[in-house]
Amino acid sequence: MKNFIVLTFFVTLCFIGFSQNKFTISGTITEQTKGEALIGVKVRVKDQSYLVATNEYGFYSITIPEGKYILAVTYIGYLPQEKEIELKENVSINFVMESPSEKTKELETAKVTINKQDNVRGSTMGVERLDPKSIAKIPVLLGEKDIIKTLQLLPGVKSAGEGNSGYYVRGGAADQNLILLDEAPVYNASHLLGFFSTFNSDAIKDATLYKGNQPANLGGRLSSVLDIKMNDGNNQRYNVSGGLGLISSKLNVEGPLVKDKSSFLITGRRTYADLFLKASKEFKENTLYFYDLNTKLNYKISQKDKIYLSGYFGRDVLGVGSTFGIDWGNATGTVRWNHIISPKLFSNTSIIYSSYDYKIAITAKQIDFTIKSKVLDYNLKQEFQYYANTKNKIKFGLNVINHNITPGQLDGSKGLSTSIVQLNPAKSIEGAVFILNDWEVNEKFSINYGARLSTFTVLGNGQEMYTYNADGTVKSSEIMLNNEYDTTYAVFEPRLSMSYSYREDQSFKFAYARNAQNIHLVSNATTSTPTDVILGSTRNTKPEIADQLAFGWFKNFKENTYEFNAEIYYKYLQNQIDYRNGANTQANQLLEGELLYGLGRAYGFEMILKKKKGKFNGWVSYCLSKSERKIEGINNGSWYNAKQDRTHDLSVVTIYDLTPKLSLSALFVFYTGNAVTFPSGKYTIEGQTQFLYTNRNGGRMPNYHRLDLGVNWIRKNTDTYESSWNFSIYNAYGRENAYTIAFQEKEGNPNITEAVQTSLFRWIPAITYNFKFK
Amino acid sequence: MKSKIKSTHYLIGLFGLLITLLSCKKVISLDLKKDDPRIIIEAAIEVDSLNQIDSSTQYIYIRRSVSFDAAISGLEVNNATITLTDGKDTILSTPKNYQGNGKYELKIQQGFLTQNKSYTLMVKIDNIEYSASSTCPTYAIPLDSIGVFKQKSFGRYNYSIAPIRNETPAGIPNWYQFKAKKNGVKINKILVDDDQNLDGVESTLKPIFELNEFSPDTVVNKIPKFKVIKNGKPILEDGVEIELTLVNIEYKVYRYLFNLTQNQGGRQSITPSNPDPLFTNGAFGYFSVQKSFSRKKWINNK
Repeated sequence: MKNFIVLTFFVTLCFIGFSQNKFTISGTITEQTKGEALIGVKVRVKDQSYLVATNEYGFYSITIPEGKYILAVTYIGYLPQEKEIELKENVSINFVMESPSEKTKELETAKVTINKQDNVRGSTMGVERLDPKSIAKIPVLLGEKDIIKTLQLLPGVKSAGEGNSGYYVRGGAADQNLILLDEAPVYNASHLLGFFSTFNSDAIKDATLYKGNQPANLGGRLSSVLDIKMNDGNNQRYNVSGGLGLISSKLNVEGPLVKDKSSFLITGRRTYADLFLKASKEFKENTLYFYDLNTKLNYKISQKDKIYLSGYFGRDVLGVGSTFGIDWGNATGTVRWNHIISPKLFSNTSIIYSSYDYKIAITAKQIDFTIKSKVLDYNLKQEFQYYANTKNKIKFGLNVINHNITPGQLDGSKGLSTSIVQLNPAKSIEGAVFILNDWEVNEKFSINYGARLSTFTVLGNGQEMYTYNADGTVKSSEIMLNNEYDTTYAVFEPRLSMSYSYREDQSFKFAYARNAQNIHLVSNATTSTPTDVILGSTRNTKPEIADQLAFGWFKNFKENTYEFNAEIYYKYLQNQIDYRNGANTQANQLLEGELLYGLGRAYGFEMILKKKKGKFNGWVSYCLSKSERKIEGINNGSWYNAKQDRTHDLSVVTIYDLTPKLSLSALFVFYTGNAVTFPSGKYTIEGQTQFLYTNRNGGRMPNYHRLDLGVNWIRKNTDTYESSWNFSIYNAYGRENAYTIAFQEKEGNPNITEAVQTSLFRWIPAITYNFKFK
Repeated sequence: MKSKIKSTHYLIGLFGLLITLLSCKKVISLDLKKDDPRIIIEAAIEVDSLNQIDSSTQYIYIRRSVSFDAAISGLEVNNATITLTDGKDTILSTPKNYQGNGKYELKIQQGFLTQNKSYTLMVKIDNIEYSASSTCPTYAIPLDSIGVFKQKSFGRYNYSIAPIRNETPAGIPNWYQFKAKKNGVKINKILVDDDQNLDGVESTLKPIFELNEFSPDTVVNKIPKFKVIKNGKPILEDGVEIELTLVNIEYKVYRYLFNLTQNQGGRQSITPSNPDPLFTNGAFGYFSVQKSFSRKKWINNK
């Protein structure tokens, strides 16, 4: 009998255990001074293994059994918080994170918790995250803080060259990187023909770069996705800040429309290089400037609903008197609705507009015409985030984009051109559905797995569509009616990444991803120009596909003062595009006939060692890599170096805080020159010297290296006003790095051929004054 | 009247302005691969109405390539045997017909050359034979006149010279080479074009080169003058005579010459490469049976 009672008691206990109720704690986490949502804040249940992080909109959700707990919230640069709760039902708890004040900064430094082991424990790999505040002290060209140029100092990300703000990631071409600004694609992310990037760092909250192993909710490009989030605007008080530099100035205005509920942000920038031109007699009639404007508005409708409106407008204008002018620019707009459907289910709905266009105008006595080109996207995105339990966070959703691409339309009113060549936009619909799960199996092991199905449908536009023979001549043409279905491509893209932390401060990681790309950039010059042709997949041009494998080892040491990451990767590419030999790339309406398609491969080793604490900090990053292509019709069908192949890439960034107000910085960059095609001999035809060539991209530009130095001085910092000076010198030892190499006849002796190197940017000083009214 | 415009050179010019403001240039030495010398053959055979009445003398040029840093003079091949045939009749040129400087004389009999007929050229050097074939285009489009368009930029006047050609049969693509002379002196530049989208009508093709005046501030008596080279020295003259020749060529010859234009003037092509060969056994150059039309025009500041 006694045994029966004891057995019954234990069975009952077990029953109680299994039927113990679980409840959800959810909410949003913002920061105190501006009310901005914070991304990646860790919410932990003390003395338990439950841990979640806030999403891109500051939302978190954690489901645990009922009981008494202490919630601990930590985030880098902010004071940690704790809250006791007795969990008997679903609750909503919001946190406002406080940063230490300047007066107590030293005292509080000890309490500020650095998110430990983020790089070690997280399942995703090949990710670089930049906070604009952290780049403030890094010396840059002309004093313009540039988030894209700073990313190029990280492993696996390579500059496309001086005077070019494009970049290459793990051996991919520059057009294989997707740049999103508040979810809107930005097609040409540069000003002044590549000297500056489109992004004003004062308007940016966060920038995350996925180097090919992005989770399934992101896609569309083979090599990377750069996800940039704009600031929301200060919903606590008004701020005016800005900077005055040698070549451009900027102003930032933000503030609450309704305190704690609604805020706005306007950030503008303009260069004034044209003012210097006006001082010159020869160039005074010429125009040269750019401007950009970031705007954001948000409104908290209720505890569960928030609306955001964000926009970007930027334009470059170059002109020669009244004769010739070119202007180009991006415009994006995002309307986003965040809705908390339930404590476990979060929804983000976005409607996005994105356009890029350029216009060339020539006006003279006898001739007058313009050439216009435009890319226009309308995009609908729906994403759900379901916090199934403390171990599983599921995302699923869809994305539909309507592309309209007008490659170039000639419009003339007199002179040489008296008729109009109308080109209807090339139309297509790009779609994707995805699902992924972020699964923390246990304390040591986590997996992120998912899949994406992407489709691309080519539609008719009332004009002819061509197919081509192997020699590039037209094989057939067919007029497709407007919106008539032509071709559909579908690609299944599995994604997997996993992390095993065999020790608290060390881990191994593995990742695999397949990516597809249907928007291609075909350049018509050796450097990137605003008139590069954007092409969607067609009957002839199939989607590019990349399969990437990566392994990594991650270690933190000396109490997370140092962080070391090493990764190796291999990428296999299909349907890669290159020009045939002697391609006609100028104003060619049958440009697809000049393209050839084939395979690619890229592999490499990357490492980074960072020092994150103390007066002296910074990082060293190095990459050893190879990138090749194999295309029938080029190099007799053998493997050849891709243009962006660079064996070595080294960056050393050092920042030393001499005093709390004065810091010194130095940046050293070294990389192997790009692969190029050089001549191997010469001859004459029609009285002109012509060159003999061997392999495509069989030569190398000279190695590139430079040293930049900077000083940042916080002159004043009170409760109401802050000002600072930044002095820098770009290329401090004046290295003549090759921008281009051309071959020409020697002056006075046309029998001899010389190689002439053009270099840019030697000893470029910059002074910037920054101010902020608080 | 339709026309075709290429304005990317303006963009490149503007880009050049930006680069000029910021850049510096210097001559450097590069460790370049050395290629074995190649045979280069230039064979342009004219089909003209005179040939129907009388015989003609035409020339073929044969040279060798040199390494990048060598002087380009002294490359000629003087021991070639050349055969031109239409499959029925043959014309021969041997080292006895060698004129010096890589130049071989071909005496072509009356009626041998006609439009729309295929010819094969065979060149034998040191027991290796290099051959190519060519067909003169069926429709030879005449040059109607020379267009001159004046515009001002950077403080000076530019005169764009554009050929105006006759109407072409619709739906048939045509390809052209242009040869130009300024005051009787040949302009050493390869100039080619096609009539993509412009066939079926009379049209002005895109400008093929420019004449630049000096800025009015630097000239005598405020009358703009043209800079021309006489006896190797630049001088200023009141006007200039332009002679333009339109040559009708077939597509493969156009493609070959177009490839060569991509690297003219030291400009770096996006795809520097050797053109697809027209001759067998790795010889470079072209063989073209073609028909030409010439015009002259006097240009001055009025």
